[in-house]
Amino acid sequence: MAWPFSAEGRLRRTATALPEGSLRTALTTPPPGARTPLADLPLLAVDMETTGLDPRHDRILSIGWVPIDGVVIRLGGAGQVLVSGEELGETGVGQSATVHGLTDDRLQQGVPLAVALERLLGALAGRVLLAHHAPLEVGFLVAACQRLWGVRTDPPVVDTMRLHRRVIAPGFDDEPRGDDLRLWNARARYGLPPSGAHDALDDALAAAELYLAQIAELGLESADLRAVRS
Amino acid sequence: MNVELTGIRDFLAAHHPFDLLPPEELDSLPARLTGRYFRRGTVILPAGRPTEAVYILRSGAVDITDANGALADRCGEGGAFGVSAARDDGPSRFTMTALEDSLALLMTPEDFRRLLASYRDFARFFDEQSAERLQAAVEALRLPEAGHEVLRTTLRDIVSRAPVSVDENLTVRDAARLMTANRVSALLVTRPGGESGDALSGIVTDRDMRRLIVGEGLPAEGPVSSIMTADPITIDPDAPAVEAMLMMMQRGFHHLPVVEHGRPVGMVTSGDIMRLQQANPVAIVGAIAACDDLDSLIVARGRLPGVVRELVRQDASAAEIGRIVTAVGDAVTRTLLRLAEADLGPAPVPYAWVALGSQGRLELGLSSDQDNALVLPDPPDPAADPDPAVDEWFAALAERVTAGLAACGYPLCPGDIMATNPAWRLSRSQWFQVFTRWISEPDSDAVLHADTFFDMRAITGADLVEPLLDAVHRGTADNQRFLARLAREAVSWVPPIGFFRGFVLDRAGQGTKGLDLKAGGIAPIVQIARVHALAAGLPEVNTAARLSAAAATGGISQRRADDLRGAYELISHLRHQHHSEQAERGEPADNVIDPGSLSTIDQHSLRDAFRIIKEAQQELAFTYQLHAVS
Repeated sequence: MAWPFSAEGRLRRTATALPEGSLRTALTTPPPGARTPLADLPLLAVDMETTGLDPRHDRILSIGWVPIDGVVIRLGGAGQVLVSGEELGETGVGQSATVHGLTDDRLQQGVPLAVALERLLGALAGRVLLAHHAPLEVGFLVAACQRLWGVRTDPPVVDTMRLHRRVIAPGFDDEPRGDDLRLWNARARYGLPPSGAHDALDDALAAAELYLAQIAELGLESADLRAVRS
Repeated sequence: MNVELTGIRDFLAAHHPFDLLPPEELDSLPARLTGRYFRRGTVILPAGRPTEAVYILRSGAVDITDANGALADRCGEGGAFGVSAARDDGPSRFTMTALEDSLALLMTPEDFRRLLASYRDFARFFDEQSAERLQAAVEALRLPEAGHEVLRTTLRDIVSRAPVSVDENLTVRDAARLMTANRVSALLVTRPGGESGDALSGIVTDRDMRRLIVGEGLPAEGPVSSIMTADPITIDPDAPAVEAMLMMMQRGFHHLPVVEHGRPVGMVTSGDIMRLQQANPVAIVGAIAACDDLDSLIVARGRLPGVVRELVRQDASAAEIGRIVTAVGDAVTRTLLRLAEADLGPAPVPYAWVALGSQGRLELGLSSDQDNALVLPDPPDPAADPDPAVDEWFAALAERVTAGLAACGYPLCPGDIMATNPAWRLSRSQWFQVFTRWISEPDSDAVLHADTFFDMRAITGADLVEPLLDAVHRGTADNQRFLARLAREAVSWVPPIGFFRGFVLDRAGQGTKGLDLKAGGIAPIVQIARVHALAAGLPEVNTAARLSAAAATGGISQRRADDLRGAYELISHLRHQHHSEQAERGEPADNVIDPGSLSTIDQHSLRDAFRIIKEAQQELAFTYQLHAVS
């Protein structure tokens, strides 16, 4: 698919400068306001499998997402997309396959990154991005939008890892151990079922379920977005 | 977009009754669900409100309470609630409250109703009329035709281990080593048969080894083919075991290779066939009847646990097993009576030895105590003093028989309800007086004894007993005060709600680790059936027969009788199974099972049985105006 790149694309531009289309619609739909009550807040739990942790050098391999409307997880809106290995170049997924289990062969069945991101952005339109340790997902998303379309994005974000830090270490001096903050350990606190595979969709769903448990535990049902925003 | 919510799908597929849905339904179902989280203490659905969903619990626990706030059920991981409100599209009769922090999957009522309409097995699980479901569970336990288990056994059933075989080019010495190592008395000799596997070329037995190597001096380094019996007679694994037995007897073989499509699959030995015979209930009763001393009787009776194990394995019904175990008990009793009479000399007067309790009802189990008594004829002159020599003879008879029964595995009755107790060694008129007193003055003593004495059956001397029992049954029929006392006893046990995380869940929400199948299931059904039978003056003693007869006279509805019989069969079956497993482990038999060891299906079926008992109890309580019963 030919995207209307131009030399000026290297310049930072806003999404409103993009040509008419679903991508522009997705990127220009206003996010929920800061005073949106959590009971009504639309979110999209997102998880990415990547070749590493650095958005400048590493690449997205798969993306999974699940919408949450207030306190209801909409499994019907769940999505998952595999990114074809084109951008990976000669090295392929390399050793990272041991973490996410995605092989170069499987990635052959994926779609180009631009297509994958357009699907994600379509699902994310008008929603707050939710992730466990969100800087990773946001970093990759921002970097990819910049690289592909020269567009700077800044979606509102809720991070279940930060919420978890609040739950387990409410005092200023308490510094939780890194392991305690991991998604599966955070879930265990609420008796949420464990899961086997590292899979972007399963992990996105896991974060969504964790979020519901957290706002219940923190008594935030009547609060608004400001109470949880990162 | 085709999204695979495999985690949710696998979760549903792992829990009953969602596992009953076909794969394509399970694939598409998750995308139609939503997820909700409920803090501990949250009222998820209050009574009187229609439900927005059927809730499937992914984690946590939810209590379901009725209008009075009493616990009606408790739902754990994989459980569903809001079901009846969703199905009937009406208000919920129960209140659902999160007992623990809970994560639930929500299915729309419309979707749920569509699944109910599309999948019969799935719908049956949610059917409140649990009888059909219980009946299906009971039928699943049962074989299409009862009896003849031994005749139906095929070689496939008894040849359990893979054949020990040896290549025909191996030396005799190596073959001998292999036999020793595997502790077998014969080997199959094979030649490589290409793709279809090795073909049978012969058989070699330890007898061949002794005769040809030791006796005739053939070299032990020669090939095993030099001493084998080539092209032996073989038998198909689907042949009845009886056929193998006949072949071996006619030809004097002790080993018969079992061959399927030219490939050896096992070896049947005369020992296997003998063991099969050992498990034959007809053979054991015959052996018991032929015993001439206590020691051989103990040995013959010792085969009973094996018989029960075999019957359980072959899915005989609990009623059949109860009859067979009782037949063995009766045979042991008769043999002991014969042996005692041979010692003591002939009886001074004719007498009846009667079995009481479970043996009387033809429902003996491996763990049952003995309950017995003696019925003697009335003396010609009631005014004359009793002859001490007569009582001495019967005391000695009772002593020998009860001690013999104890030695054979029937523990002495802890309540001393045995013929050794002079109180239970009475003439027919004395018995009648005792029964009449119990019936007309139903104090707690009478109720205690009703459990045992009203289930009387003659082992010998039926002609003495039958007129007595006829008179007793005329006395019980419609005797409201007496029946009400028995009914109160029959409703005194409060069935648990079901099971929760490996525990028996009672109505107070408490969990206990063990389920006593006798006290909590068998006894109440036996008591319910007894009340109905005695109320109608019926002579039946067997619980299933009592229920059928009571239904025939209209004392109980056919539906209720069927339900209770099904529940009784199910619980008795689990009890026989439990006994047979204990026997296999060499443990003494008891009636307490660990709910954690029950399959999900058995847990659900038992739950249905508990509910059936409770309903029958409520009906009894209403009939006899027992207001204390909830």
